[in-house]
Amino acid sequence: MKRILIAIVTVLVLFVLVDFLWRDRSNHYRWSDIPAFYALFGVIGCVAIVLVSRLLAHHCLERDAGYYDRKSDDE
Amino acid sequence: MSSLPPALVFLLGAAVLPLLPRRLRSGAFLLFPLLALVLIANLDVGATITVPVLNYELVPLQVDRLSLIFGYVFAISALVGGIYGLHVKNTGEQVAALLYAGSALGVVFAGDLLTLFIFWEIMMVGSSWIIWSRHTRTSGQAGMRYFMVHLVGGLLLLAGILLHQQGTGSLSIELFKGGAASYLIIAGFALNAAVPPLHAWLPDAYPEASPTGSVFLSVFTTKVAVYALIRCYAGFEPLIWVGVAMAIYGVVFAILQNDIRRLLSYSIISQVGYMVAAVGIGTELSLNSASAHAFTHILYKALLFMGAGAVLHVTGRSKLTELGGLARSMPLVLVLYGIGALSVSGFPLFSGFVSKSMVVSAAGISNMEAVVLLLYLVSIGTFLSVGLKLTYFTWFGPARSLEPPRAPTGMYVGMALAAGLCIAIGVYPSLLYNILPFAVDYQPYTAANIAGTLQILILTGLGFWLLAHRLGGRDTITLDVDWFYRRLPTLAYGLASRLQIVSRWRQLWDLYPRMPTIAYQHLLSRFDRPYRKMLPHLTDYSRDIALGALFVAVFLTIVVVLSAL
Repeated sequence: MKRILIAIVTVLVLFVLVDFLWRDRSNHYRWSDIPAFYALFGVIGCVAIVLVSRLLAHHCLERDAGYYDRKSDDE
Repeated sequence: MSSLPPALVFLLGAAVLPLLPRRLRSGAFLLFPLLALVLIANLDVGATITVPVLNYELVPLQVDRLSLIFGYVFAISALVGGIYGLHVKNTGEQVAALLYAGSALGVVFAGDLLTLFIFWEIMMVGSSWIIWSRHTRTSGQAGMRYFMVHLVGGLLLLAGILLHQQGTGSLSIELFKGGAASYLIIAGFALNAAVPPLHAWLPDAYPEASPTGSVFLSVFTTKVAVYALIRCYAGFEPLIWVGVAMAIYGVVFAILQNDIRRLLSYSIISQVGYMVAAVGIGTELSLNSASAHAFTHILYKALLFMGAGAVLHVTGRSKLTELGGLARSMPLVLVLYGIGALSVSGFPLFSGFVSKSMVVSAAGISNMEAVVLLLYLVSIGTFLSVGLKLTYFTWFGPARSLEPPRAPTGMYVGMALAAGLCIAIGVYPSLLYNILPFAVDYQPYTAANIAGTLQILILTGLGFWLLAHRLGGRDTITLDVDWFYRRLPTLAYGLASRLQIVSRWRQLWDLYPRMPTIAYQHLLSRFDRPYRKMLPHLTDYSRDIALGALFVAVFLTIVVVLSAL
C-alpha cells in the first residue's frame, strides 16, 4: 500500500514539473503561472463536490427508497 | 448507390422483424444498422430528396458533414446495441429499438422542420415503448411518465414550428433568432436534451428499462437534441451557462445515487452539459467540439450502460448497497466497464480526453476562464462518481458473496466493440477529427494538457481514497423535480380528502383514469398476432395516465395562450 502511494506521489510531482516547465503557449490562463495549480484544484474540487453534494442530500434531497410508493396518508 | 434516407432501412426493419421466425429475429436485427451504415457511408454531402406534399415540400434527406457525423455514430451504436442484445427474446423491445434508432436518423437527415417533427414524435413512441417492454410495474409507470413529459415537449416544438411557419412562411431548418416561436422550439429541444428543470424524465425512466433497452435509450434522445441545438441555436449565448449549470447539476446528483444505472443517467445530463455549453459558444472549434463530444460520449456511455446492464442481467441487482466484490466473478466486465469509465473521466489515450479537452479549449480560446474552471470541476465529479464510486462499490468494496452465472457472449462482444472504439479514438484522434463538421486545427496531446489533466485526476483518486466512507451507497433516493408530478398530486389529493372537499369528486376521480386503459385494451384486442404480443400491456398505470393527461392539458393551455399573445 505504502509503495503504491509513494509511486503515485512521485508521478504526481513529475506531472507538476512537466506542467511547470512546458507551459502551454496557445491557451494561457490567469492561473497558468501558479505552480501545481491543477493539483491544488483537484484536491479542493474533490472535497468541495463530496461535501456539498452530501450536505444537499442530508438537508433536503435524500428520502428512503420506498418514498414514491407510499400513499399520501402515511406521511 | 443512389441516396436513400437511412431512416427508411430501420422503419422497414421494424415492420419486417416480427414476421421473421422467432429464432432469427435478434440476428436479423443486426442487418438493419449494417445496411444503414453502408447507406450513410455512400451519402454525398449536399445530397437532397424532396417530396411535395400538399402545399409544402418535405425534405426527408439533406446531407452535410454535421448530419453525417451523427448518422455514423447512431448507426454504429445501434449495431453495437444489437450485438449486446443478441440474447434478447423480446420482439416488442427489438421493434421499438429499430423504430427509435431509425427515427433518430430521420431527425438528423431531415431537411425541413415538419419532417424533423414527425421523426421527433416517432422517436418518442419508440423510446417509450422500449421502457414499457421490460414489462414490470415500475417500468410501466416510469414509461408512462416519460411518455407524458415528452408529449408536452413535442407539443412545445409543434407550437413553435407552426408559429414560425405562420410568421415567416418557411419550414426550413435554420438558425433561429429570438421571438416566441424560437423560444418554444428551443424549449422542445431543451426538454429532449434533459436541460434542468426539464430533465427529470431521464433519470426517472432510463434505469427502469431492460439492460439492453437502457443502452439504446442512453444513445439517441439527448444527442438528437444536441444535434438540433447545433443546427438551430449555435452561438445562442445563454446556452453557455445553461450547459455549465447542467454539467454541475448532473454530476452532483450522480454522486448521490445508489442505483448504478440511475448514477449513469445523471452522468448523461452532466456530459450533455458540455455539449450544450459548446453550442452556446458558437465558434467553429466549439461546434466541432460539441459534435466530437457527442460522438465519443455516445460510445462510452453506451459501454458504461452495457457494463451496468451486464451486472444487472446476471445478478438481478442494480443497487450499490446490494452489490460488491464482483471483480472475482466478472473480471472481464470490470475491464470493459473500466475502459468506458476512463473514457468518460477524460484520461489521456481514451476517447473522452480528445473531445472533452476540445470543449474546454474552445471555452478557453473564447476567453471564458470561469467556464474552463467549472468544467474542470465537473470532470473531478465525473471521475468520482462514474469512475471511482460505481466501480469500487460494484466490483470491489464489501463482498456480498454473489455467485453470478456468466453473461451471454453477445454482451461481451458488444462491449468489446465499443471499448475498442473508445481506445482507437483516444489513441488516433484524427479518426474522429477527420469527420467533424469543420476543418480541425487542434491538438489534445500537449504536455501541459496531459500533465494538468492527470494532476486533477490523480488527486481526485487520492481524495476518493480518503473520503470513500462518505461516498458509500446508501439505500435511499434523491428528490428531483419529478417530485412535482409524482408526489405533489398525491399529497394534494390526500389533503383534499382529509378536508372532505373531494368526496363528491371521488367517483369521477376513480372512473376517469380508467377510461384510457379501457380504450387501449379494447384497441389491443383488435390487433392480430404477432403484433398483439409485442405491444405494451398498460393495465395498472391508470393514475399516471390521468395525472399525465392533466399535466398535458395544463401545458397545452399555456402554449395556446402564449401563442395567442
